Amino acid sequence: MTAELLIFYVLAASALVSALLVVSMKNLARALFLLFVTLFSVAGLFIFCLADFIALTQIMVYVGGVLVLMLFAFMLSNKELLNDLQKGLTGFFALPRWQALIITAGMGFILIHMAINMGSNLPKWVTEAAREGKIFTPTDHTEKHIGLQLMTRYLLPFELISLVLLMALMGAAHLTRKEPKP
Amino acid sequence: MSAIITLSLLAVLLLYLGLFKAKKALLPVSLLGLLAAIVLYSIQWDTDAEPLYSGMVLFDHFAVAFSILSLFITGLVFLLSRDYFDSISEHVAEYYALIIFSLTGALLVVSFHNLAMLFIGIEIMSVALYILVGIRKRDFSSNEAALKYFLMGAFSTGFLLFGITLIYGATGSFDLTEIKNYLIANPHSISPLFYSGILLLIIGLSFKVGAAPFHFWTPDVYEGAPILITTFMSTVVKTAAFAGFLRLFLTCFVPLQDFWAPVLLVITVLTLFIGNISALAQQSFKRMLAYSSISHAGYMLFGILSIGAASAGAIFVYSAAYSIASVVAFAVLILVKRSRGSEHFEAFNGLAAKNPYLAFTLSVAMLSLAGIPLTAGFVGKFMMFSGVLANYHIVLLLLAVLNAAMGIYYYFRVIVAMYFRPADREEVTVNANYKAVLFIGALLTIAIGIFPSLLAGWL
Repeated sequence: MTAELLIFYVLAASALVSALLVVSMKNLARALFLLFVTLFSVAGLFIFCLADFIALTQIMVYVGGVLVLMLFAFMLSNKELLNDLQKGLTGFFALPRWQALIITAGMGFILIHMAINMGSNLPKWVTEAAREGKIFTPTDHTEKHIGLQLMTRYLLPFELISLVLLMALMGAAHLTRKEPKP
Repeated sequence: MSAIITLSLLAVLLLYLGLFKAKKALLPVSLLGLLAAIVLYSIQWDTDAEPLYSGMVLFDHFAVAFSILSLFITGLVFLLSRDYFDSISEHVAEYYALIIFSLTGALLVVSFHNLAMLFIGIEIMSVALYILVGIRKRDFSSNEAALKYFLMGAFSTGFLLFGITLIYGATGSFDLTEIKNYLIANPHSISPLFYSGILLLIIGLSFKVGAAPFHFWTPDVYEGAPILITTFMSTVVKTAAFAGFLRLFLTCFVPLQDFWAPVLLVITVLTLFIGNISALAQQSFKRMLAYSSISHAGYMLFGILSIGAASAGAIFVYSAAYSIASVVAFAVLILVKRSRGSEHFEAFNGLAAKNPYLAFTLSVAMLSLAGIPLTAGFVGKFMMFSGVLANYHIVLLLLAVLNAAMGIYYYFRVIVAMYFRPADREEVTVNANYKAVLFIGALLTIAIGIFPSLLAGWL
């Protein structure tokens, strides 16, 4: 087993285990801190896919921004409210867990079935690109290509994303605005 | 494309109008903007459609017809909004702007030619709705609806995105033409990624259109949201989501029909039965309409199930008929709720004696939703069922007819309440905008019912 493979398995295992713990843990603060581990491991996996730009974005946006915000929200929220949350539903036969189980099992079945069927048959366009030598190596810079694609082929979706951002701002303004009491 | 740019700018303009407290100008300006967009689309009708912007959008007849339908229905919803939002909040401009933004997303969903655009269109459409559903901040059920819709929407977006990713993995492209070419070029060696991708896309899109067993958010969200927003959601958004669903399957996935048709068949039958049987048991008119919208999703799924040259026309006529009738039904509900404070069937008792006009238009809408001949709903159901009969066996058609019969029962409950249950009540005041919308709705329903070629010739 090479060192890379070992690192890959460590990252994958830590991503899986920490994600499972995040959803099963009753204590919200601990779950939030475990989310750090999940997001970092996933960022590491992105690097293994040679998607270093995505990995950095993941760390900057999710770890640096979203998680810190969530921690703030957690610290500023009402303690009584959170205690209620921690009680939650107990017992394996509680209905919501059954639904979650069915959805997870279905999704898992689809993915595992796909992986078994696929075997080592990569899609044709991947093998063709590999034959023509049109592949990335770990020393290549991917961000240049991403920038070019965003400014040429994907310019329209890139511009339209701004609508989503504008609406998110409006939503935030709406939620935080003080309304006069009726 | 110019229509989409116009609408985006219109929404920003509305925000500025709100900033300068020009409340009176909001409604006329929005209606003018919608009219301009309809004109811009109609000009495009006869030009040869080519994919624009590196194959991102394609304004063919399909896209233009569904876009004009969405714009028209949004116009009706806006007409109903006079005095409606004022009672909720002082910041009305934002609600107008958000509805326009959501409409822009819907227009992108009906005209996408690249899976990236489908995703962004659906996101623009839904993010605006997450906010709109929760605009009554002090109302508990509105908050619940917003949170539920947001969580379910985010969850289903995950499925959709995963499906798109797998399709990309198999074909190496987001472009609909490329995906179709891939299927045609390799009919026997399609990657397993592709099959899983289709399954996940079906799940994600079923969530968005509210088909069973992914429908569980629909009743609560439709009930908790302000009535006008429910109207918008159950007409424009549903139509757009179905048009996107159909466009994806019609352009790309027809060669694999043997694979996905059984999955969709199960979803369709479940949707029909769950929607109709639950609607039978409802006491609240609004909740009944929510469940009936689930069952209408089931009927519209027939159009995708029996996919072919005729299915676009069938879904177009069906969604037009359903949307127009729904707008009328919700408009009457707003008025009744305003005067009686209740959404139950009893609130409609004796409406015919005091407000014959309201009772008549609502009856026309209900007949259309139930699919009685000489109304638009019948034409829609007829086109849908004849497609099923041509492609599928008779058992499915019998199931559909059984469900239509169930529909007649619960739609007639409100007619019976209005005409045959006497009750002491004062007259409901109706302003001119509502009168106009009810008139247009009833007129179009009957006109399409008698002259189906008005709409059926479009696609």
